[in-house]
Formats: sequence, C-alpha cells, structure tokens
Amino acid sequence: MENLTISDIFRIPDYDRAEEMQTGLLEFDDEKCTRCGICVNICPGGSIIMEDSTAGGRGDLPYLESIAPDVTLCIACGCCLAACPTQAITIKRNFNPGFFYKRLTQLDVLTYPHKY
Amino acid sequence: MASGKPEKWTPGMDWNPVEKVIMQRRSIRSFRNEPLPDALIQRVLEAGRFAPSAGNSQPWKFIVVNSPIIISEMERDAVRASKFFMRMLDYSRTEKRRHYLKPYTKLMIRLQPNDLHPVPFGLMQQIARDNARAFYGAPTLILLLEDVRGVANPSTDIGICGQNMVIAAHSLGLGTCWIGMVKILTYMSKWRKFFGIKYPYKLNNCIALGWPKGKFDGEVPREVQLVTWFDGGMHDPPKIVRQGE
Repeated sequence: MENLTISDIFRIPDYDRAEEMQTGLLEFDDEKCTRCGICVNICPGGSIIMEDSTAGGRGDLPYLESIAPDVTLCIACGCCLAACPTQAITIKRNFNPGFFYKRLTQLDVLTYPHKY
Repeated sequence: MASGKPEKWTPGMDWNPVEKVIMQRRSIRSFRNEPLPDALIQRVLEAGRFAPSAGNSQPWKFIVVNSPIIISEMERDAVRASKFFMRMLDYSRTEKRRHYLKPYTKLMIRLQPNDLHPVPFGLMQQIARDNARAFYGAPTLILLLEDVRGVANPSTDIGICGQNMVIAAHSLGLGTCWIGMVKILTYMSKWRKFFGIKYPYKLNNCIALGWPKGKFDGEVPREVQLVTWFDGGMHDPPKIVRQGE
C-alpha cells in the first residue's frame, strides 16, 4: 500500500508533465475498429480524436489526444470500452496523478468485475 | 430482498439483476434528442425519495430541469465560466504563463483541491476549448440540493439518494451521468437566483437523464483495490487483500 509522504503533501504535480502525472493510455485495434466514432462522442473529456478522412478506404484509426509528451486527458474510465460495438479498445495504462493526488490503495492492475 | 436466506448466494454465481445493473452502469454522455415522459422522471425520483438518510432526515431538494431552452443556456454559461477560470488558471498555454501564472495556480489548487483536481481541471480546459460539453445534450437534469441542516452528514445522504435514482434509471433502460461540473454555475448569482439556491440549501450535484443514443452500458476493468481486513485479535496486524483479482 502506498503512503502519502510529507513531500507528497506539499507538492502539487504539474498537470502537463509525464514525470508528475500518469495519464490514461488506450490502444485501438486497427482490425476490429469500424471507425464508427462512438468513442469520440462518448469520451467525457473529448480526448479521443478521429480525423475525417474522405480519401476512401477505412479512414484513420481514432487516437488519444496528447496535451504534452506522453500526457493525455484520459482518466481510464472505460466509457469508450463499454460503448465500443466491436471491443476494439483496451486500456494500456491507468490514470494516477502524482504527489498530492497520488492513489494509495489502488494498484495499476486493472481487472473486470470478479464474481466471488 | 434481504431475506437472510443463505441459499441466495453460491460462490462464483452469475450476477443477479441488481448486481448486473451496478456492474454494467456506465456514465452516459450521448443522448437521443427526445424528451422523457414526466411519469418516467417521477418513477426515477421515487427511487430517490425512498433512499436511506441519517435519522430519516431526507436532507434533499430535487429540481427537475426539463427544458431544452434552459439547459442550453446552462451549457452556454458553463462554457463561459470555464473560459473565465481557465483564462485565470491555465498555465499550459504559453511559456510566459507557465513562468508567471503557475505558482498562483498551484496556490489556488491547494485552496480548492477538489474543484481543481487534475480531472475537473482538464475538463474545464476542454469545455473552454469547445472540445467537451458540460451537460452532454441531456433532455433532463435533476439538480440535487442539500439541506445543510440535515443529520450528521447530509452530503453523504445526497450521494446515496442520487445513486438510488441512477441505478433505478439504468434498470429502466435510461442513461445517466453525474454532472459535478454544475457547481460552476453557482458562481453566477444569475443561476443561484434562477433556481432559488439559498440557505439552508446548497447545490450538491446534478444527474443528467435521457435515452442513450446506443447501447453504452457494459462492464469495464477497474484498478485492483487493496482492502485492509482486521480479522484476528487486538494485537494481530491486519491482512491486506487484493480485491478484484
């Protein structure tokens, strides 16, 4: 279990620096994705982008917008996963801000609801 | 029902209908442009009216906003307010801002650690840039006001009451989303007056309600949670159990 140290308490992370904020990361499966754009509509932070490609073919794969190197606005809530009709999205990294806001009792491992 | 019969559970059994709604409920942010029947809204409110509260104090007041005109005005003002706050606080826009503004922003974050947590901060940035919406075009909003004179911990009662309505709504095929961002409107006297938010009431939260545009509910993965179990004597250390693995 993590502890909040004194130096953590006194330090507010820079919200746009990867060293101080672990933001969510998604992977889009190129094969499964039908470019329907539901994830773009459903994302709470409007952080998924799909370029309007009219050049024929299947169009461009959606992607997570980066606001700084390796920093996204994804909080790994999973709303896009649940909404995706073809299960083309997976969470590659969870959300865990640093220092003052760091998570103490949650691990980085993500699991589906477990039927005990 | 809580009948106390042990045969209601066998290890590893499938979700029962209540658990299924709980596990599959997702916050819905894309709604059909179709008003809800008043009776259906009242059916959802009824789940709130029968929520447990400390000392049965029922420290809530519900306001139903069922008008596209008012909701779009609220949306416009949420954008306006987000733009205002981000103009004052967003240090990521230029190097000059990063240099001069960041210490002030961090002081404000320390004074308002919940409202300026990285998640709502990022959302305000996105709303200010017109990349995200505050009320997601929902046809109906239920504002949850808290009677601050309630027993013990009225804000917890509001959470319980609201989640009762959310679970009921999803079991009826509706979509909901908690909109904590509604608080941004209470900085404007216009909205405090409009909704009559004054002592002993304060705006606690808001639930957006509507028909989802598609099938968006479903299970998602969540962080494994470390749970502390005290199940020995007074001098035994607790055990840490990984919940969800």
